[in-house]
Amino acid sequence: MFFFDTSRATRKVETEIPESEWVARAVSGDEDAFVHLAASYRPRLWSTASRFARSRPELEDLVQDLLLKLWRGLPGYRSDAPFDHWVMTVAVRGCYDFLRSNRRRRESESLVDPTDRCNDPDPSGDRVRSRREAWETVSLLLERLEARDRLVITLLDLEERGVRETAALTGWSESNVKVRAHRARKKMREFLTELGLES
Amino acid sequence: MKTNDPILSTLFARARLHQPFGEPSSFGFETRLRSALAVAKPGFTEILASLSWRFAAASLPVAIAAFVFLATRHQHLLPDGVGGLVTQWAGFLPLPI
Repeated sequence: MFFFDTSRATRKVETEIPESEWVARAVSGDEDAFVHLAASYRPRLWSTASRFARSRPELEDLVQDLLLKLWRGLPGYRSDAPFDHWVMTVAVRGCYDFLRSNRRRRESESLVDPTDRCNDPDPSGDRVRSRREAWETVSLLLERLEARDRLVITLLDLEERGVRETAALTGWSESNVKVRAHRARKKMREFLTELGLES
Repeated sequence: MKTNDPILSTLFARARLHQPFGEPSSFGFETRLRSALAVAKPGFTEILASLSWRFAAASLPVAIAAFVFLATRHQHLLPDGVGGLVTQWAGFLPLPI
């Protein structure tokens, strides 16, 4: 009797299909194609959104929300622009909306949940601790900024995106991005002094 | 465009390497996404955003004409034909026509 491994064959066929084909299918309303795209873009969305969420459950909800925004926005996607750029534009604007809508609630909450932030493979290592402490300090400073300033600093300094790319993702002008970054860093420096965290 | 502040740049460089919540788990991802998609219906703003600007440009004069027609009909002052309509609405213009 001959057995044929259909799952392996399906996976092989799926990997051979170019992304543009998946995108075309998803735009026409194919849910399976969108789920395939969502799985491939999820790590990038997760990485970007993790700079804005305060706990893992909140991050999971935010990523899910971004995926729904992408699904709803797909009919408006024009194929003349790169798909990954469109995805990141929707994601960045979704994160900005999230920041704005959660700002008041954030102000009244404590900053860091240690159980969420301590899932590094080796929390006792100096290097890991140093990174985590730096992250917590940066988070503390970012919490005190306006949503727009926080978004600009996150994209420029934490995600290492250029001014032009940041401007394209946010929809703001390059000069606006530069001015905001300059002012936000100045405020962060002042907060550092105020909190006595300069050393 | 990087900061030239040594303390901030050191903080950013270290913080960049930290993954605060680890890697995403694939467990239950597809099930959760599919159930969310099943109930996700486009809202009014999404429907509007999906319309092209050409469609919007074409539908605007039609909407204005419909509004004018309904407004005049509501006042029982329905004019005869397009000429009557223009004459009637020209009366509202602050010009000596």
